Amino acid sequence: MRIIVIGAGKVGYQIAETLSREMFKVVVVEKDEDVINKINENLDVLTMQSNGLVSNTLKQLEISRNDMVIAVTESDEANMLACLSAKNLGAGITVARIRNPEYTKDWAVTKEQLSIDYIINPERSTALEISRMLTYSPAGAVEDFAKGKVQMVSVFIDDSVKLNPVQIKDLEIPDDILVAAIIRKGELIIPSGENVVQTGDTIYIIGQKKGILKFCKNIGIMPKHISHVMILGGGRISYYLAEKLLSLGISVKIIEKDPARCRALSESLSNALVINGDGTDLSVLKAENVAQMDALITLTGIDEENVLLSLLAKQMGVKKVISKVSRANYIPLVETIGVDAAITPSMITASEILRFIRGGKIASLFLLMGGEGEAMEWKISSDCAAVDTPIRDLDLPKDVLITTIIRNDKVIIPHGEDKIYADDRVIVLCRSTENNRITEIFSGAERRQKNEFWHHLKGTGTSASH
Amino acid sequence: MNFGIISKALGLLLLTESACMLPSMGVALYYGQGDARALTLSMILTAAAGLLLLGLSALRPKKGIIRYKEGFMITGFGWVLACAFGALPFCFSGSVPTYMDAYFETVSGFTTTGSTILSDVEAVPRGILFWRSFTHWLGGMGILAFTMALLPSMGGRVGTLQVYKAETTGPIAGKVRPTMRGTAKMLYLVYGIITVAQIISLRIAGMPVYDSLVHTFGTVGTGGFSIYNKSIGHYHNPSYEWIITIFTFVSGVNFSLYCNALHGNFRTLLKDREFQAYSGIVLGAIVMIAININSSVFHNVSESIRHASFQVMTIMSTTGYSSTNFDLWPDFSRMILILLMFIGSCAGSTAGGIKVIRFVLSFKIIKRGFRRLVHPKAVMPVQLGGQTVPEETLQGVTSFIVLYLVIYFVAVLALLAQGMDMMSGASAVAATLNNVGPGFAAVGPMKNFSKLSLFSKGLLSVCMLLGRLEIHSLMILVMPHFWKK
Repeated sequence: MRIIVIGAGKVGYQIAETLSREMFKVVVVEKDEDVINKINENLDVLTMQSNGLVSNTLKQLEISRNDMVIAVTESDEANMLACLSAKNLGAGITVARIRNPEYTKDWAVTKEQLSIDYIINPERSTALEISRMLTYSPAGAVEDFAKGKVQMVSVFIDDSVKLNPVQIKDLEIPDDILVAAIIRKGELIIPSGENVVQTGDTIYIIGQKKGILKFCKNIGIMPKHISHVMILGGGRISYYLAEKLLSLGISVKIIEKDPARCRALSESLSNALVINGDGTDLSVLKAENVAQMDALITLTGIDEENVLLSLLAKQMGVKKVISKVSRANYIPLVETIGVDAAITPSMITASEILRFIRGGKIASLFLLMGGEGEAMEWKISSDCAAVDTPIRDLDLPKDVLITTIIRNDKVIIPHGEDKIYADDRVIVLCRSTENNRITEIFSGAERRQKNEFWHHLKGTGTSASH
Repeated sequence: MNFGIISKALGLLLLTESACMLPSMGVALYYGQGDARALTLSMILTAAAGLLLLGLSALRPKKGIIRYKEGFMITGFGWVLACAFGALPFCFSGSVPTYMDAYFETVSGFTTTGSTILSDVEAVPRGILFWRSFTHWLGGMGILAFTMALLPSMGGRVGTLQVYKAETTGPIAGKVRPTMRGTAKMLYLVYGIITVAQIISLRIAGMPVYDSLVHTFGTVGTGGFSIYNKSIGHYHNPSYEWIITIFTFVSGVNFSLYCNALHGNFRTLLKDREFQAYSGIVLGAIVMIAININSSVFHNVSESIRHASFQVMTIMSTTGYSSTNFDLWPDFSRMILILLMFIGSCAGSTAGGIKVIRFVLSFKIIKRGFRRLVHPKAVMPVQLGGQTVPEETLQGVTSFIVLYLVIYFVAVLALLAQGMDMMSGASAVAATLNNVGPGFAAVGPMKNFSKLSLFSKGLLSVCMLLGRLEIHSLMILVMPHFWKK
């Protein structure tokens, strides 16, 4: 399977990076020479400098049923057209980025008519992610697994947290949750029972919502009631976020510099208060009572502004601050200095695409630490290699953790002697490098064969791309 | 300025008007009260004037289209001319003493006001009375729109939207059909359906054919001319009153909503903000007046509700029929009725007044003003049913209301200066500017405008025209900059 990414903006680049790391054969089609050069320097992919909409380009690529085309150019319309053309030339799967709110709501054509198999809308996904974080207030990032039965949340451990510095196995935590990962000074640690949680860590807890809430309460992180939210920046994420929050009955204030954008926002979000002002100007924020807000979401185009304004707001007493950080490598730093959560739209999109590509058996997938770790949900079929074997005999690599098993709607935190049965759902957390091994263990026989075939392809693919 | 096209349009208008006198002719011949001669003479004169104008237009080049200026000229002069020739039957039949009286009566007819100078309506021949009421029906939807719907050479012109806009009530005039002629036809189709429905209803309730025709013209055009001195109260028939109450309500709704409803889209009608506000005001006013008059005037709840509903609807829709002498009602009820005169009904209906939508928008502007005090930098577009209303329209609404009130007070002062009492003067202008018909005191429902001075009659005629054409379309013609090249 070859993956052809048309358009290498932030999202395109991130997708190419993530997929090439997953050992897929990736081809990037991009018009801009500088971007092509940058990709050639940093990524192990095949590049092609041309217009992805032209039949010549697509023919040159010799698109076949084994190819997947991901169209992520700036223009929604171009992406639609690219998918349609690619499908016409025989592409197996097409993915398009479509982010205009008007198209998501009210479309004259169906995605089938346009030959699009999967639509990604990074801004909308990001907004929904932020809204999840807000409504689940004790924690930073929140990810749902097994249709919401199991959640994974990130909690930042600061001085105020009452957590005894003991080994994880001795921690007094509810039975139905598990410490799944620790991020310490930008390092991902998949913990065993012997690790100790320290101040300054961000920990990922997985388990049932009830248990997580109880744990947060025990360590002194009180759930915060969010009813007033201020959003800095009025881009598409802000629109989707405001729309979602308003539908939840949360009052929303948006501050945006551009008067025309303000107008458009206030016309489409009649219940939101849209202020035309410079969000980086403290007097504007004070005039709009930033200190009284329950949450501040900084979504301007500049990472540094977002982070600094969040810190400032936190100092002024805002309960919860979330920043958009476009550069994934800032995230570990940002979350250690007091910003409750940092989100990167391109990462969210990459997770989404990866989840889609792995398809079938993977129900959910979440990238941690800019893609260094992965949490994924597997549906276990009867021909899976791991069925009926005690977990301790599975020969799992070191940085792999089976965090939860969902069997008949019951959530089990497994121990060494527990077994996995067919029709279970299993949530596994691992370092991304172990990904192939995990796939071998948890996917069914048929899939394994295909995987071997892919590995073969990948092998030749890497040499071909040089 | 393209005078060729203007005189052509006006010529066509007069020819249409002449043709519109035909039904009245038929009525006059049927009843044989000697008014057929007056109508024939009027028809010939009107047609001759129309042909003259058409002939004049033939002398000049007819190229070009109707632009803003031409549109205003056609509308303004069209109405003035139509009223001038429409007054001829009254003069020739000798039913009214002077031409000024006849002109007042015709303006009152075409502008769907319903104020009369006839002291004894019942003495006037039936053909003339039929013409008098028929002017309501023509004026309600717009005489120029009627001409457009009938004559392709007029409706087919690009730019007739200007005329349509100037003649249609309300701040926002939109087409309901791709072409102007199609729009005019569609509106007249709806208008026709409502008219026929009311005639049938009144007939079923037992009203004689002639009476039901005349009263239907008065109702759907929201005019208010009756053929009895005591108006609808003459019949003492509750079912007639209820039918008229319902049809005045129907005629006060934006007709483009009915056009949508004809295509099965009833939701837009119920969801329309103006319609909701209109219904709310109607209900509120009925409840308040019914309670107020229940003990003091009537001693029977159903009677109070019936008269309150009838009077609220006929005043708010600016029709002006009366089922009882509401001038004798308590001041509280009379004040509410005066307020309703100013509010009027929905934009795009046949009614007069300031229109509910302008109040809805004004309240939104006021609310925004208060919010802006707290959030000076907030961007808050005014929306109506999910659609943003352009700032220009909003400014138009506020300036319209101010100008409306200025004209109102100037006219009231002009009447009071001649020695009229306050209630009569204030209500006479309110009744004419808002195209209602009867006022209070000296111009109350059981009285008429005949005793006013010649000057007052002229002034009130202008008020009626200003009210019907919503001021700007007419007033622009006396602005010096309009005539500059």
